Amino acid sequence: MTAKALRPPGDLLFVKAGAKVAAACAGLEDPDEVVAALLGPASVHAVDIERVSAGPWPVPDPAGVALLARTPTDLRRLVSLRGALPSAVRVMVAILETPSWFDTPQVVMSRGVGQRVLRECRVHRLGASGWLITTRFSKEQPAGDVAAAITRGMTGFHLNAHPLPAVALGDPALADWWPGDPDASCGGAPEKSGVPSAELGLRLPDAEWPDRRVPVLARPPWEHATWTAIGAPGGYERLARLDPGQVPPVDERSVNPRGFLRTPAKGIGDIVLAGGRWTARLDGRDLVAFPESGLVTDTDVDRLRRLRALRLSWRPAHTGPIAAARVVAGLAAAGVPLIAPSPPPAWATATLGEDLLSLLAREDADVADDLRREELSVRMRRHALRAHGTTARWTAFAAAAGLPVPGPPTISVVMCTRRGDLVAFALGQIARQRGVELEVVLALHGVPAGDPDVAAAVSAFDRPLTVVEAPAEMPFGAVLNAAVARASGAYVTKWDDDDWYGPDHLADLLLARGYSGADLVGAASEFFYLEQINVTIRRRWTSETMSDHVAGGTFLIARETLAALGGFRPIPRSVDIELFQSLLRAGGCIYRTHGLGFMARRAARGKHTWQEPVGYFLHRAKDQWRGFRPSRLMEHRP
Amino acid sequence: MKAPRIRHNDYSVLTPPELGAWRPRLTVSVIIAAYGHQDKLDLTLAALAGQSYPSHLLEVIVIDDGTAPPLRLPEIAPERTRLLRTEEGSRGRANARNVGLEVADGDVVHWLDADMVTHHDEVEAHMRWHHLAGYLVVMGYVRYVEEDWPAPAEVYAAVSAGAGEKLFDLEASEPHQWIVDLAERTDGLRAAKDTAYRVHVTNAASVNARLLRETGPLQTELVLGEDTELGYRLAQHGAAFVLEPQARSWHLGRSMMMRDGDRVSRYNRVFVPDRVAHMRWQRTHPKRQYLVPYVEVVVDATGASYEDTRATVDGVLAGSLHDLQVTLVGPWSTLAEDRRSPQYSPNLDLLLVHGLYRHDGRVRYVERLPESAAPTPYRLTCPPGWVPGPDSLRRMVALAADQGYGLISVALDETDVVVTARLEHTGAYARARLVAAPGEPLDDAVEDVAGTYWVDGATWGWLPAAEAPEPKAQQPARPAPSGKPGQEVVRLREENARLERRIAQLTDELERVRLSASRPRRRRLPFPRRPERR
Repeated sequence: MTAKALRPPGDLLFVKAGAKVAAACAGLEDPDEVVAALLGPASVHAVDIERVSAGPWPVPDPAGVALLARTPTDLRRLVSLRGALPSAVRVMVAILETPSWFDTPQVVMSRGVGQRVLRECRVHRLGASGWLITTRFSKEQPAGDVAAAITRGMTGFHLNAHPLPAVALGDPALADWWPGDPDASCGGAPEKSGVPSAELGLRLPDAEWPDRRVPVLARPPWEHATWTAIGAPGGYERLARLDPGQVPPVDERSVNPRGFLRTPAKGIGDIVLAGGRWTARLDGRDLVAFPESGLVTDTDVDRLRRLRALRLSWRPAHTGPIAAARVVAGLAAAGVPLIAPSPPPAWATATLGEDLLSLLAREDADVADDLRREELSVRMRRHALRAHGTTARWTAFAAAAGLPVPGPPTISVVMCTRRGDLVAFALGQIARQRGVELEVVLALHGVPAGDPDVAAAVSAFDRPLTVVEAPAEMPFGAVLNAAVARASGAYVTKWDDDDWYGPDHLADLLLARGYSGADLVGAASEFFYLEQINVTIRRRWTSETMSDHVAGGTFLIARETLAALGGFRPIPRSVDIELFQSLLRAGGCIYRTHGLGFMARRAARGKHTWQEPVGYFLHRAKDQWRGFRPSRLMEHRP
Repeated sequence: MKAPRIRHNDYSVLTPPELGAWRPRLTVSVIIAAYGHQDKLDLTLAALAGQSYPSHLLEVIVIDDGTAPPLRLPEIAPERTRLLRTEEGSRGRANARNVGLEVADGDVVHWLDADMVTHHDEVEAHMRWHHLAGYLVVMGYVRYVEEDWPAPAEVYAAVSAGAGEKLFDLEASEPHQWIVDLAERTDGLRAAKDTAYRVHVTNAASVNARLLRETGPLQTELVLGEDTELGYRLAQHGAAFVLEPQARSWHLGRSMMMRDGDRVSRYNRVFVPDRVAHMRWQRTHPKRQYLVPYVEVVVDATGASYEDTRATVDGVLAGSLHDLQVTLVGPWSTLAEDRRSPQYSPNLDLLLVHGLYRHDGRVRYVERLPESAAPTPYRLTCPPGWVPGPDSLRRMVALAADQGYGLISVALDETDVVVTARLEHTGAYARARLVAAPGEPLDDAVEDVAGTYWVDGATWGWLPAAEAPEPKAQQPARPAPSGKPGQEVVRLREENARLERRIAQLTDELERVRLSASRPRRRRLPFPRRPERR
């Protein structure tokens, strides 16, 4: 980005000319240029996040603090350094490049505390996709709180927390291991109050860790694992000890499948070595040069979305094995289809794991078809998020340290049916769900529990199941509410009795909830089996996006949120769309994940809630296939 | 053995064995029509005597098409060679070959000209394909030579020694250029789709005999281009066309097309496209009709009301695709008209339908619909009471031709079942019948050999009879304004004034209607409608 593109609005007066400003930069290719453009007349002391020390800031009592991040992912790295960043009455946050789906930033401080002393807040557009936020408080505020307030508004989360033990970072250089958490303490010195600052610590290999009460792990900064460092004496030993736990995790709250394009406009790009760094190149043009550390950011992923895939040759591998593995894990978690024609070297297998590597495409033909490409992407992202995401990495660390980690939440599957003969089919679909804890609340709508079909299906089902009987004349929404009242899971999901679900359907919804932070997540309603004419169609919905609706038979919502909305409206039809509307109007958000794990059945009219004729679906079909043709992720066995 | 399913003309699914490394079992009849040129015929038969294909599986039938003095069989010829002669009054190339076809008993018919010198494995190269599928046409590679030719014994010696390529100077010979070009453009015909039939050239093509008999013999009405026409009909009966560069032969002298191309083309452009509906580049006239139409539209009038059938047929006949024929199916021969009160005749609706179109050249009446529309390449089956829009048919056929679909189904309406119009590709259905397993739905086999597709009737301009506008003759274009431009300005000003008066009148009227309608009534609150469920 050129200095001209960075020019702030003319009437911006952040601090008086010559006033002292402390600036922390994250991910900037040329910090001096950015500082000059945004803070020209001030006297600026700028440091890069990777050079910040945990001690007192070198500029005492600055008139303002500027946090300058290249991308939202970089800003999240700054958030974890809250403890090391100074306080001021004026705080500037700049994000130079944001992904195309990025919402206008907002400053959401703690209500009644930080937010009450916010006196002025301005949001400006910066260049083509950047944002500049300037704030003035009536009382000094930690600059990290402002950064946290902005990252909180970037995703759907009202609570910007991880369900994990509290983490302490021994050095700011380790911020990438635990991004986006202002609650992380930084420095590792024992709290004077006698209450330990964290349950689990991470330090540099040679650093002191004075607080004996807190178990601690050691990880080197990425510079220690470059190919040159490995070539030095003792370096080879490090190479031999590689495992996934050595790779800084993927910040899944910002690097995730959001923005995936199912019909890419461009061809297959290559990852090549340019200037010592891995660079994504298409037709001779460099799209993204990955930083030396191997960090993959949301903005970089967004630039790669239009590619059909990225081709990867393992050698020469970026700046070092760990940084290279980090790039691959980041891209995989974002669902960027990867092709690796040659077998992976030993360091890649050790750091990424054979499971993930086995999912990568082998040749261009594997991604030639749009649907095959998307299946590949979903498989890669699932695995990479579960194996290399921040939550996954720290869950493993905590478990290794003997700390208690929360178990998976329970999902209450609420299924309402008027047809006893379908119960066996539907429970069979639920029975094969994997990777989740679930219970079923079966609402029999005008069907007696003693119905032989129902009784047989219920007794053959081996997970917790509650039967609710409702009279036939009760409206559908009321029946659902009666069923939800009997649910005990943290989440409620609605299930259609006659549709097909892939075995990872619920696990994918939980995963999407995790990375999107949305209050309600569901699948895109893409696949329909038109039973009368034996044709499968795929509609044109975009997926992996915030939206105002999802497929009615697929959504998942916290039971508490559903209760706060008053449950379903007690009406006979359209209960889903009514719920979506009330959630949006209450300030919630809806995320639509991929639709490959769901297939709606469209039977003869009158038997189904969908009233549109077959032609309606044919007209809206992007693809159609003869016969029952679910995606491969459905793992359908005829 | 399950019949292999070639999709369109992509014969990549077939893998022929290496020449010389397989065991043939099918018999072949080589049919040679000859007129004059005993010397060339002697060489053709000498080369056939040197074939690698087992002689007990090979027969040769030579038909002398009236040479004086008559042709004779030379000394060097395959063991099983016959010589026949056509009768005076029934001569011509096509007829001579048909005479040969009648007596041929091979599993495969190999057309050869009487001036061809085949390489030793020419017949074997054809036959290795015919062993893989029962619906193939194979075309060899011919090179044209103008040198002096050797003696029969020399030809036999060279060919039987596998040195046929040494008989002539390859550099000085000419290839069959348009076939070479076509092969280049279409990946050796694999991507040729509906144009592959053109390589059925009777100087060096071979055809599965059963398929050939089903398709019928050469058209004797055609003096030239009869092989192209037969190739087209073979395609309508399910044939796939293979180009075999290893089936090599020399042609003694240049072809008629090489010698006299422009005149031959001028002649063929009149007689061939009339019968070959796929020659769209020749059939560009918007309104003309041809012997073989592009589309047959089938309407089963049995049990339908006169009005419904009429709406459908009228809509079809008014469409922008003119190159079509309507086939009305019904019990036409059993209809009895009441001569006193005809308006009370039994089956009155069918009587009316029968009367309505009987003199329309594009409509025919049949009692039983033949299984195949061949030689017509497309058949649309349309339920009475559903009317295609003016452009619907043209667009549907264009989609089918472009994508190669064997079936396009149009979802018109649904009760418990979906009411459907079907556009079927004749060749695809013929091939599906050849390859379908017993009990397999034909549409499933069509999905494999050509692809099937569904469209929404409303989107594609189909309407129920009650909503379809009656076709009207187009208004002739307004004649160009005569006289000076000034007069036109005056005329338009007057027209403007007239329209203004009319608007004033109608505005008054509207006001009156509004007043009379504004009796006290419950007012609707301006609440927005709830969004529809998606």
